[in-house]
Amino acid sequence: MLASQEVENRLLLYGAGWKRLSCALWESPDLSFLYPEMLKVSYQVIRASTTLLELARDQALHLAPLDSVAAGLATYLVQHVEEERGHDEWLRKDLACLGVSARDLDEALPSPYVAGMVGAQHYWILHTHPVAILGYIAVLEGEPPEEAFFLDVARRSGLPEAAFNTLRYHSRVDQEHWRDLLGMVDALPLEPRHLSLMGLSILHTCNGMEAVLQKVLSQAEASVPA
Amino acid sequence: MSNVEVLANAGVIKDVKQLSPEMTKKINALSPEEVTHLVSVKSKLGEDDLKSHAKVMIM
Repeated sequence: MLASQEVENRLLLYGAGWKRLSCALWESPDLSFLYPEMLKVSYQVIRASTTLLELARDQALHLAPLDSVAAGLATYLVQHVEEERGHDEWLRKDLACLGVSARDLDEALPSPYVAGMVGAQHYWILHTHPVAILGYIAVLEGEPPEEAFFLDVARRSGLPEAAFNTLRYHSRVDQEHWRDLLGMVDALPLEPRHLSLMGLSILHTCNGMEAVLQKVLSQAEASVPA
Repeated sequence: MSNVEVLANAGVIKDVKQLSPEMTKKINALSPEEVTHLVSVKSKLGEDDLKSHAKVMIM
């Protein structure tokens, strides 16, 4: 079985929980409340992306002379870090369209779910193998939706289209990023232990996403007057 | 013991008879480390019935 198929199988097996909650969010009558809340959490996760990718890149470069998986990964990450750089600033602009101030974002305390999802990657990159990051990227970058979906959400929710700019951009470019990722995974000389680590990374990230989404959805329930 | 049997014994898979042959093959291809973690977190495993979902967070 191709390694890319192994990754796609795990996204299917492990992603059911957070995908169901994702559907619940988009179909919620409280979308105008939930979307800004979700975008704030997205900001907390995405602002860690560049640092995380740089850490994985540097660790891969460090291991590369004696590790052909790390060498191939480093080549990919050198480019991918630049593709992801600055997206947290885009999210800040989207959130500003929704009335969320920079101060609100900077003073908000991220949940342990966010810290656990991102923090696990730091541990695996430094203490196991940087290939773990591919599981994280696969969950957050894989299976990109169509741009038209977000335009429809903007219309249904009454929220400004500009508040969806970052998601819309990714729906356009992530199809190509996804193909690049799968092609690179197939080109790496992965051993079972690498695939297992990527599998754990996908599973942990999916569980983290589920916890994050559950918390956001529960905020809407709590905001409904008794 | 297969992965499916381990996960069924742990209550992660509720009804083995409802698993498609394709799904059974995918689960049995998971690593022992993944199965151990699935048992510990009691994650639900999904069929491919959510292709129409749209992600709420994108990197």
